[in-house]
Amino acid sequence: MAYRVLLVDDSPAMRSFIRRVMFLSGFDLAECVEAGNGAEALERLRQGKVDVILTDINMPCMDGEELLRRLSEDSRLRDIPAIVVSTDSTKPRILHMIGLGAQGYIAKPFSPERLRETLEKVLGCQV
Amino acid sequence: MITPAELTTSIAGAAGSVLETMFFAEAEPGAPVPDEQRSRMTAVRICFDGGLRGEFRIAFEPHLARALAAAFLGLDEGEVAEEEVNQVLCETANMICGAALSRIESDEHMRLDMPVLVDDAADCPGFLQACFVTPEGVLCTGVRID
Repeated sequence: MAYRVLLVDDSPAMRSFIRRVMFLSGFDLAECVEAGNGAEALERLRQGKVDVILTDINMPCMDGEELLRRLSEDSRLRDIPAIVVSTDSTKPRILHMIGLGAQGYIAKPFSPERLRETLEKVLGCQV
Repeated sequence: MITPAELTTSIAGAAGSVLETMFFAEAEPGAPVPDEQRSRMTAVRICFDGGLRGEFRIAFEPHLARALAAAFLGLDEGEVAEEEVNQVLCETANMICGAALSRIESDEHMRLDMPVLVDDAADCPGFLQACFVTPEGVLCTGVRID
């Protein structure tokens, strides 16, 4: 099965890197939809469903925390698994984001294997 | 209270980890860089807050900056636009600063401002500095705790 991923990060360079790493890791990527912040991510989700969301935290307009809150409040979106990708790997932050509904947490820097393993775990499948 | 030695060790560890994992590049500790050489570098600064408050800076020699951007984006160096180089440098600064602070303060809240380019890479009074040598050039880090 090929997966549709929503990638949310305000850095075009980081979005490009993650997209390339997903491909290099062997992850079965059908399509990578991109957004520069949480508000754009919600707009993309209105246009079509995705299988998993990868989101940064620190973004302008709407950050990753608010995005997770909005997802959890929307009955159409709350079942889409979200994985946080962030430079902040402090325990309080990880616990906070998990509490907001994140199903996975990847600290930057990360390897292609780490990204694939987390996607595999969250999607509950062998990718 | 964190000591300068602990801070330097944490930044060195974070820089090495980021360069190796995200850029497939290796870096060794190097000698301090003279101001004249540093002034030709491209520098980024990030202010941080939380258990510790201060400012992190990182400066890259021009060829290293372009080589890192190309490696990060999977492009040839000639294909990378100046804006893309700057984006990658800002992201690199963000990753190294975030990783270093997370190592130091794993149980504390941390907040990083958006990384911004600095006009004068040599202007960093009061910063605890460290330099690293890569095959593509030198990068220097600096941190100031308020």
